[in-house]
Amino acid sequence: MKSRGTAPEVAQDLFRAKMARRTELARLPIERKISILMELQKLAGDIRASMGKSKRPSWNLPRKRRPTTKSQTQRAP
Amino acid sequence: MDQTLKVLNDLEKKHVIERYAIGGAIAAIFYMEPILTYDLDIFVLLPESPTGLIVLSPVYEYLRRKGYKEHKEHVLIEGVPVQFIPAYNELVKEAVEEAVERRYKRVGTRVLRAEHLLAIMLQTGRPKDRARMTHLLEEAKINADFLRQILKRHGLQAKWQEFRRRFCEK
Repeated sequence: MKSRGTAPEVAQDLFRAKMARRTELARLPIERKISILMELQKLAGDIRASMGKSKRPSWNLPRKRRPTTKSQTQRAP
Repeated sequence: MDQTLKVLNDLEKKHVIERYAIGGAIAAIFYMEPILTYDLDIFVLLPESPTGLIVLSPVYEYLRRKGYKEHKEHVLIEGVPVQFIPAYNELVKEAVEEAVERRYKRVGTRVLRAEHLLAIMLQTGRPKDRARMTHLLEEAKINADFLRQILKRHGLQAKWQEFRRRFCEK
């Protein structure tokens, strides 16, 4: 990415880089995306709290259970 | 979320619901970058009741028996607020019927196709739907022919043209 140039050129480069980052994020596995979502919920909750607003409850997933054996794996419904 | 999906799969296996598919923002996240949301929207096809009415109470009763608590319009299932939405029109019904099978960790589930998501967002038409649509169009692989057929079948072509004109043309 260029760090010098006219303001519109620098802005264009930044927008391109943002778009590339979004595309990269879109390609992540869904499990990773859900982890990011939970981080976003926490971040949004902290921001709301700092503004004196009530937090919306973020997801509270149960702790990891014992790994299942292959025979216990659920098939698509 | 895998534990939540297992409960949803059980609902289907036990014929409490006929079929379900993930919709809303979580479905969109399957195709695009993660966005902030708090709900897991589940579109459901329900068995017809003797009165012919659509009733969600058997779903809530089943989940209550399993110990899951209701909070406002959600049921908290394994830490995730789930909102059950009965297929409320022909487009949503078709979307659930044609949803694709996906896996989350090792659990099978169903997710609305990106083209149906776009059509539902277009039909719903809230500002946040329009914002998600532009992201989805940029980041997901959209089958243009399939989308065109959906829009035609459900009378959404004019709305689509308007959306393209306002938000996609530079």
